[in-house]
Amino acid sequence: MQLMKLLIIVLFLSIMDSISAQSDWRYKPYVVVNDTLYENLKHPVFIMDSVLYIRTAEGNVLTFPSRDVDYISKRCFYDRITPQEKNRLSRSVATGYYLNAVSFIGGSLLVRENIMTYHNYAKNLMLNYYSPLGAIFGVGFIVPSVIATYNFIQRRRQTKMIIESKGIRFVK
Amino acid sequence: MKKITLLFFLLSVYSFFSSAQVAEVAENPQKPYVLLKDGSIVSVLKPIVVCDSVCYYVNRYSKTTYRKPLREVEAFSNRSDVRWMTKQEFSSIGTSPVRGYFLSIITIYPSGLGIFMLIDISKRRRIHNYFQYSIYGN
Repeated sequence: MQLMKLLIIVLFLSIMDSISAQSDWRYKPYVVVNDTLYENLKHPVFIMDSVLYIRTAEGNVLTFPSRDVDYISKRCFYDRITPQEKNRLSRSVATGYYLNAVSFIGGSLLVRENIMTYHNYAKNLMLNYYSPLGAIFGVGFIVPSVIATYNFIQRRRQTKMIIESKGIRFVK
Repeated sequence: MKKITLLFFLLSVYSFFSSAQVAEVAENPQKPYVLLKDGSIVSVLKPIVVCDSVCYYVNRYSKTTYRKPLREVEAFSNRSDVRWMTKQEFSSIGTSPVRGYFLSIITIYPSGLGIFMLIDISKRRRIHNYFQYSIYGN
């Protein structure tokens, strides 16, 4: 049985290693356009109206027609902005930020309370029933708020890139 | 006579500090601002809207709305809340009434949510005005 477990683990590790070797996860975000490599890109990388927007490591925004794009690496996590999502780029997010912050803080408090309860139960042998429902609820509040905040930040970055692609600079 | 001298002194002090303030504003414009191609810097209110190669903004001091082609704009200051908008979204905000004032006022206390709603509403109101300005002018 032990030998079987070891074999499975070795098999799993070798598969993971070969997948990692074949994929481009180990390289920094890059794209290939017209046989030209653009590497060390900054996030976000996105396509809107058949145009690819990228930001180089130096901070310059470049645009290419999407038909000229040969390859976009996986670490770019590139996004395709649909016409509906284009309208969302300009929305105000102050209320959204507030709700996300409240949700994050509430979720964190729930998780903290649950961890403290768990420690109390662990110390007391008489109390042998512990429900992790509070922690699950807490995580359920935290994860969506973090994702939503990340999306707000990405939208802001995308808007900035679109404006910079029109030849406008942002100065301090 | 003493009163007149005192008044003269106060006015000259006021004049001195005002001129210093003007010079300071010229050197360090209040953010957010728009830097135009002719070198002028305009302090504006948030948000600035960019729609269809045209930029809309409100002058912070005169409260006048301006409409400039993007080719005349050199740069925006950071954190100036520039919104790039499709024509469709711009007209949808510009033609629909701005609602939510009552809800925002009743939610100010105790949560404070209303303050953030009011921020969003005031920005939406400004975008609404930009659209009205683009159609009817001032």
